[in-house]
Amino acid sequence: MMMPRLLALLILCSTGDALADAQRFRLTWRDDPTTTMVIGWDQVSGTRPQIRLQARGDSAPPRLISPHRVVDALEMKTHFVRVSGLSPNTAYDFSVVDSEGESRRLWFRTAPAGMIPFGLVVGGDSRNNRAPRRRGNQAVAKLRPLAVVFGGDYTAWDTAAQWKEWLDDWQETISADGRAYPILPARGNHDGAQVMIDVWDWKNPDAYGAWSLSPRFRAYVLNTEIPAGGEQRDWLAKDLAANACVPFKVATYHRPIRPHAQRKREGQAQYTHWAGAFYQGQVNLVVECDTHLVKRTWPIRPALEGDEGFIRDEATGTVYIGEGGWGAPLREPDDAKTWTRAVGRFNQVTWLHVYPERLEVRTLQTDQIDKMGSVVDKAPLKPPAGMPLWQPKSGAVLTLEPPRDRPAACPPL
Amino acid sequence: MSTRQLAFWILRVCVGLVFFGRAYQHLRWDVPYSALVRSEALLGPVVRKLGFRWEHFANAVGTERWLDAFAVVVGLFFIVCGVVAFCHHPAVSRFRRVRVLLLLLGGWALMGLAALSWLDVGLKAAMFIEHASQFLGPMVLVYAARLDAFDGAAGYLARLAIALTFVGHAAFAVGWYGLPGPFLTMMMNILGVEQVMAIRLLFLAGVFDMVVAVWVVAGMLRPGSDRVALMYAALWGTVTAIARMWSGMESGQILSGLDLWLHETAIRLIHGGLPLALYLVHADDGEETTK
Repeated sequence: MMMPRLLALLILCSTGDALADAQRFRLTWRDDPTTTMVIGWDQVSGTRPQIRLQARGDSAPPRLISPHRVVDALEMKTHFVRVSGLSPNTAYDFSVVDSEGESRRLWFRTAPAGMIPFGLVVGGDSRNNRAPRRRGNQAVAKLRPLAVVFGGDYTAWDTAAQWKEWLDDWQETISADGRAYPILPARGNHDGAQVMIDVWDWKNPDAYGAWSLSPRFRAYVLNTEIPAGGEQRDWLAKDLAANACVPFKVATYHRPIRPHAQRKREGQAQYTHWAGAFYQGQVNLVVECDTHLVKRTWPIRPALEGDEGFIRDEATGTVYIGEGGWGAPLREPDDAKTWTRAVGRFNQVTWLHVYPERLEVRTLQTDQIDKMGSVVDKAPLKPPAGMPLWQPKSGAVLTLEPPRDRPAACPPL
Repeated sequence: MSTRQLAFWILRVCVGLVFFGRAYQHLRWDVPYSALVRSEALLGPVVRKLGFRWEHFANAVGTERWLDAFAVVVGLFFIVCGVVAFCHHPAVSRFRRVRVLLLLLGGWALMGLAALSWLDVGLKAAMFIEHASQFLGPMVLVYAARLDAFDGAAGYLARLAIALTFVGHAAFAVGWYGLPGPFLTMMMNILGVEQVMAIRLLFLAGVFDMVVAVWVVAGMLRPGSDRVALMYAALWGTVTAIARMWSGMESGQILSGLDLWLHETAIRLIHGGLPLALYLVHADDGEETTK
């Protein structure tokens, strides 16, 4: 009886490629996306884990980096390594090495320092329905974006079991060749304040911030679960003013200002404190969530005499899109306004193309994502075969140009 | 009108307003029925056992329309309950049993709604218990009308409801779950204070809420010994109810502000009304003793 067991043990011990049990990987940014990356994972077993990191094609020995933060929460031992000193637009291979061996090898790419076009996947509301959530994740793996901007409401109840399941599903965003994508995570009404720090390692405990993903593009992630006014509004106005010359600015947050479902409550505080700041700060695109439907507006600006406080302004307005649909139960878009361009009711993510001179917005119907091919890194913005593109009457691709009235002090584009 | 009669009148009006406020919410705004019916964690296994694909069921237009229709029916039921609460009086014997039945059913329905809110906000217990004055209010009204006073069961139940509501308030105010944005916004809008000061003031209010809850529970042993706590609860409960509307009235958006917030204030006036009614009853007791 003992011999077969001993034999099995011997075989196990002699296997050279023992796997470290590191799971639930996630990447995010706390600082400059061109030179830093946060790598997070759940260390299930093994001791003394470190990140083994090496730039692709670099002959120098790999860096071994110990965790900067370990969090024992949500029934996970989450480790965060905050990597700095990276080169822009560079691929880095990484894995976890610990007392038990090495984990699967993954890789990421840092943001470009120059004006290189790139893609982003934008969306939110993945709670409740697991199958469409996983399809949304698979869309990321196939679209191979620079990053994902997520508008909150990851799970329904914010419990350990649901978060573990969510992070397990998030592994499906990793492409077949091991490429993983950083997430810029917003907080939704189903997400606790502490979870944003424990799962995503947010630098700002209030979970709002901004990142320059290129010299011409700045992404804002705002928090609708804390006061829209006060410190957040002051910071937003200041940051928009400091980046007045950046031609493309996109803001993402959870609760919409003007939801497109009748039974959803209006976001008065966001209207009062943010809509004007977006307009004055020349924010091109705002991505809202929470209602679980699809909407696109014409460029609009706040004006009390307009329909629900907005009027159409093609020259200087902001386009609002949304509102969630990464897996949460869908709603009827029964509250279109005079400035609404198109509405729909399906599970979706937005594929945003960032070019030096324009933005392009495409909405993908994720229910048919299994028929879609994959983007290749040589042509990162070429639509793959079988892409389930939403085709409203107003046009499938929404193109946004830089603001026409750029501040005089800004250099020409 | 005697002080006791005034107390009973306040109770009727406040319970009626809870029902009318909830009715408006059901007819106009979102209600958290989706949190149960479209939750894969809760109903997924049942739906699959019945032979349906969960995703089809959860995302079907039909499911959403049925939920909306159900909300309208419940809203109409709450209107009936509100009228009954306004009219409920011990001196009126007509349809007494039907009135009592409707009030009790209405109370249970409000409790169910509180449970759904608890589900919807990610199982935060404070959300459920904060609703206690709303769903126990109709029961207090029934007992108080039967006894024509707040003695015995009505008094105990009212104190339990007040204590639970204030514990719920406290849990949010001290930041047990992270400070809710709307609480802070209300504080900043109304008092015109900075965010840091609003956080401090809310914490202080939360501590007071907790003291009130304990004091009111102790009042069950010696009714009347908790008059100061009841007075504070009456004031603070009313202020926090009115604060919703006050804070929500952004300049130039008066009508939409009323549409959004008036019913929220109506629903919560009982948080101050219930302790005020109890306070008045004990004030009356004091007067009688003096005489």
